Amino acid sequence: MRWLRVALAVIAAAIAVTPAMGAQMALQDDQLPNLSGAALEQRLDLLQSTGTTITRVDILWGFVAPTQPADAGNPGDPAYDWSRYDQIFKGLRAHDITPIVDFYWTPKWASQSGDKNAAPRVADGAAFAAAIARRYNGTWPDGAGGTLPLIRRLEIWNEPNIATYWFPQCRRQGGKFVLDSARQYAALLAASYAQIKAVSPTSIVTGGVTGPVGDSTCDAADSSVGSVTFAKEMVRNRVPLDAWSMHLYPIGSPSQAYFVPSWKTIPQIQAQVDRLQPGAPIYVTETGYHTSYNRYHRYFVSERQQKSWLTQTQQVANRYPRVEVAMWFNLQDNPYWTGGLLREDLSQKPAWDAFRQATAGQSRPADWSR
Amino acid sequence: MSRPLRISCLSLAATGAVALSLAGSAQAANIVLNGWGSITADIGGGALVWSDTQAARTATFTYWRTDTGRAPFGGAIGTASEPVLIRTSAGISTGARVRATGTAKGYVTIAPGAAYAGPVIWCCDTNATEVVVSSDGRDGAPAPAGAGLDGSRVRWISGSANGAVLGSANPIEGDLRGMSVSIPGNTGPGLASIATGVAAWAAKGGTSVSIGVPDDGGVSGVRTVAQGGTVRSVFATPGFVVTVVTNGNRAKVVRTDVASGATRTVWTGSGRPVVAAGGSAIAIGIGTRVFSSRSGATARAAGTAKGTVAAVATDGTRIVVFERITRKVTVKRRTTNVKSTVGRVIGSVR
Repeated sequence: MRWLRVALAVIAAAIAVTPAMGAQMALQDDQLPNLSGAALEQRLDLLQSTGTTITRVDILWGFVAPTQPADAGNPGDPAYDWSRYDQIFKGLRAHDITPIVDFYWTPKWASQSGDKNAAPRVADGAAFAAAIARRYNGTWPDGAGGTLPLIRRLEIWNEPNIATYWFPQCRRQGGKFVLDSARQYAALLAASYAQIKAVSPTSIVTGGVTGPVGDSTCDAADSSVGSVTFAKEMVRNRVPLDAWSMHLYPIGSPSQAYFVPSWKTIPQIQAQVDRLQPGAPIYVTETGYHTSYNRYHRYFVSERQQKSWLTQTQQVANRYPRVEVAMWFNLQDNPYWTGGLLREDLSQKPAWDAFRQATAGQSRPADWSR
Repeated sequence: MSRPLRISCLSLAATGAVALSLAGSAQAANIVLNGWGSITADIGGGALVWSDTQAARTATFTYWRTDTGRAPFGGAIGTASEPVLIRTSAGISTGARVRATGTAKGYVTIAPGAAYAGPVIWCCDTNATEVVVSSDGRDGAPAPAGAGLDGSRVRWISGSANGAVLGSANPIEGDLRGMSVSIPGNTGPGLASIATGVAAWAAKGGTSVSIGVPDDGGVSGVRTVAQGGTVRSVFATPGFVVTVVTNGNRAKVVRTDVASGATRTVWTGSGRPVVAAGGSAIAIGIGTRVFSSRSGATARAAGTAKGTVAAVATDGTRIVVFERITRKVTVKRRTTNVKSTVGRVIGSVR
């Protein structure tokens, strides 16, 4: 009768999670952390004008904690400088946009190598995750008689399966390289989960956050780990999580692409996630298509294709009821990333209108409104 | 802030990437590329560089790719480094070209398409990473037709609905504020070329080549030289410009002296030869036959390839060919014929 217990668990979990209402098309603007005051307000107006009601914000740990806090789990520790993020989250609340938050960029004091992409020590990383959750649990004073916004969805790190954000991926052991990042990340996720839940029980702790890697290779410290392999490693390490997130930048249209990871391979991820948390939601917290070559993503399409494939992204995402959000990355092009709805000069690409059409027809689920 | 770093980590197998392998020792190797792509090649600064453009057919769709590779070259081909991969679904890739920069084993490569401009890329910065000098995704953006290094500047000539444009940037000193100025006439795929102190270009279907001195303000001292037929490709060196010119079924290779504008036909025949130049030499490939011309002399036979010559390159002394062959490959006792393009030294300039 084990199968019955598993089936019942899946059903119960499915009932517990948000009812399927179709994936929300959402938009990230990676410029937000660079702005303040009137410039931030203008930018938030621009973001809101796209119709998005959900966005994603990268908290750069090294900016918030340039020096080591004495009490790292306490967001009030004087070593922390949250000012830019307080402004962003208050601004998002004022614009009725719900953020998903991730964090990365290891500060020097927490980095063994001194590099930003160094794998963090588990205790330091988890304490920072807890500090974020505590500061933005909806009760922290904002210093003006109110409280800071509640942030429910917290992603643990960004693309820990890629050396650009987590180094090393592999370590030399006995004359050969062995996978190391997944085990370390699993430890960070587990420790973060426990600490976040202790200070913000309603938080949705999101694991994975995998970058768009297909094959796993482990022949150097800066190798990459495939997103399915990474999920399997999380299963092996029995990590706790409430949701899984991943990044998709398919080669080919959303409906045709089949390389791992693409929309067609989401069931492979879901199968792994179900072994951790049956029925857990899937967040695609980055997706998109570039409209010119850039060295960080060497595949591009035409601006007209980007428009039509954005529309198709929403259609394809809706085939997967557990995919609650498809986050387009990014609002605006920069020299390193040309997947924006706006060009560098802020002129609109054809995809701008397609995105507005996509968001016009959707309503944010109640569970995502806070 | 913009993401500080982002890399494409796609499965090489899944993306139909080129299998780049080396046969023989590291000091005397061949370049083996999968398929019969459209190849361009050049030698300079101690490096052999090549671009390989092909359709990548997957089970459900086709996209296009251009790989640009480089290997040390000192008379023999050394170990190749990781190629730069350009992938697109924006349309058919046409007119990709690479030129060696003559310094630090670098190159400048372009990968335009029939319906898009494509990037101009300089290789490489101090981290051995390529730098995107220009990459314009707008509809109707000027499409690069030829590019190269001119002193410290990467320059490229593009064709557009509004005529030819010279672009310049200085990635070597980290200055990517590209300047763009109109120049006379227009150009198209394969019909423009840059070398130190020389810009050369021809219009699509044109019968003359324009030659001048490029700088950030444009091209000065432009001389338009009749070529005696339709110009099909342009290859500039600091001292002379090589064109492939056709008249009906007949083709010729014309050498135009940059200083005087004097022209000399170094080869005639039928078909559409591929050409390259280096030092004072011109290398010509037609079918399986390879010719060379030194200092404007009539071309002489320099070798015979095993397959159709897709591209040639010369440093003025040695000649490299990229030839299309079919290899038998046995996997698990099953032998199949595999199309490959092999780059190898075929001989010396004569």
